[in-house]
Amino acid sequence: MGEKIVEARGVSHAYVTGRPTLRDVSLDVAGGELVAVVGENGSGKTTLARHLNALIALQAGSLTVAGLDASDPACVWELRRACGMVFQNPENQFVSSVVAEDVAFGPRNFGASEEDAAGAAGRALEAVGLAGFERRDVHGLSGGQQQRVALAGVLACGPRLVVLDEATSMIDPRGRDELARAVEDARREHGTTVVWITHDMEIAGRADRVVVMSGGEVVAVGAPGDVLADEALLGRAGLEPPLATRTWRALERAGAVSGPAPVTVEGLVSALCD
Amino acid sequence: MRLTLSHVGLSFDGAPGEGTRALEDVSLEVSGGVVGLMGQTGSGKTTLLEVMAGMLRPDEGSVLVDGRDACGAEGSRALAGAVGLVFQIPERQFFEPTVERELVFGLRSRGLGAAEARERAGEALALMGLELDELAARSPLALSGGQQRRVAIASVLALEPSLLLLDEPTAGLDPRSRSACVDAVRAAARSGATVVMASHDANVLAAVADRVVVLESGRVTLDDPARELLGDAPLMRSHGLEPACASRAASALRRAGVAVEGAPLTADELAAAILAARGRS
Repeated sequence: MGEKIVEARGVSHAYVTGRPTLRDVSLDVAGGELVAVVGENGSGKTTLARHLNALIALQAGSLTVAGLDASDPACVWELRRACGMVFQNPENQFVSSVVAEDVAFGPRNFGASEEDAAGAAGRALEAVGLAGFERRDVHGLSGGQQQRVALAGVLACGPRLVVLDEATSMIDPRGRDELARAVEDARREHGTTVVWITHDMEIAGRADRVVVMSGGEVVAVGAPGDVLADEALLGRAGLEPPLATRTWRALERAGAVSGPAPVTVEGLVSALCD
Repeated sequence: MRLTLSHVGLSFDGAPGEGTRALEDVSLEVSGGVVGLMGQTGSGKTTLLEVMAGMLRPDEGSVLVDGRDACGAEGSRALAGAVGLVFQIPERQFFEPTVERELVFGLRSRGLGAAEARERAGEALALMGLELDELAARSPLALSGGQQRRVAIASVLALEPSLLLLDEPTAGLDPRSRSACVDAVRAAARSGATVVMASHDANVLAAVADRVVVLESGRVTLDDPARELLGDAPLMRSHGLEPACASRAASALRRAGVAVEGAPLTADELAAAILAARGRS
């Protein structure tokens, strides 16, 4: 593993109800990686994500993000610049109704001049395929475009790490694909590290690694081909394998195939045809 | 309950006939079963559900509830007593300080006693895989996103509405909660409710819908039996919709030379179609 962007050791957390939502979570994420986090509702995914940009204060354990200590109040400002978040509902994170103003808000807030902030906003909008949308009303955009504006707002701050928390669950499939392409471009062009929290096993199947959470714990970390094909593991975590894997298992039971199960449709096609 | 929409049109931000056109010449009849509503973001699905719920009055056309005008006194009373709407963003429908009070509010308003209301609320919540005893005193706004959605669905299911309208009810739900939601919707339809459910997820609609209506720019462009429409990947793509995963995989296999026939919508159906194709070759 190269440079570590996230290094979590023994992170535990409980909300005021007292019930632990994170239990002894340890996780490393390397620079440039795309890590998918999957788990059933209430498994602690969002709580973990909110630790990564210090929206939740560390209660136990240690956490560094881009080398910044999350337990040190002096680091919070820089840490939030280093780690940007895209939430489920894009409307919840807009601060201006004009696209360019919304995207420039982050860099301006971090001290950039008007000119530099506008430049960063323009580059970020171009990176997510929304050049020309600067003067548009965010509320008049489609769900996918809104999520790309939200992503541009994050990218304009030059983050090392982007965390997407169920960012595609409220947008249509076209919007999901647009966002996925924009994320992929950011990774390719800027080496941005991505932690993508999702229920979409298709997205998880394309990650470098998959983290499975259950009951506030990390119960598995590994390559998509290993983790998502493990029906028993996913079943214990309240999840189910992707369609490609379930189809392969049905063929296996019928004695028609053998060997490692694919986790994507493309993988299924090549396993059956090659 | 039979809901009949004839030539319904609706504009926002302007006088009738002006402003943003949200619905255009929508004619539909729903009566029993589960109708899936598909369409891209901004196609008018939420607006149509709100018209069906009586929350929005169309500029043009008519909405009839069992033959009575939904905008008239009698019709709107009948609709108000029969409809249950689960909003797309569940936290926007919460207004009570605790989960228990949120769940029993509608039941108590309809005259149920405290004990019976609590029992019905607990049953509805259990259908969604949550325990009332565990969550009763919590603020609905303090729950996780998935829990909020399930509480919102349960609060509507508890009322046993004869017209159940759901706006993206499975968005953000894990597979177990998604299948609990599908089961609950099917059970409501079996017990006689008319259900209309907006969803982007063809996999969910394949499991729950009898019929699928597609909206594009406020107009109904497709209205077909669910299996027929959801299994036709090229048709769905041509209307800007994402086919069910099994349907996409079947198309990809055909392109690669595997002669998969039919319209598989689940992993088991796809596996059976692959085995049949191999048997023929």
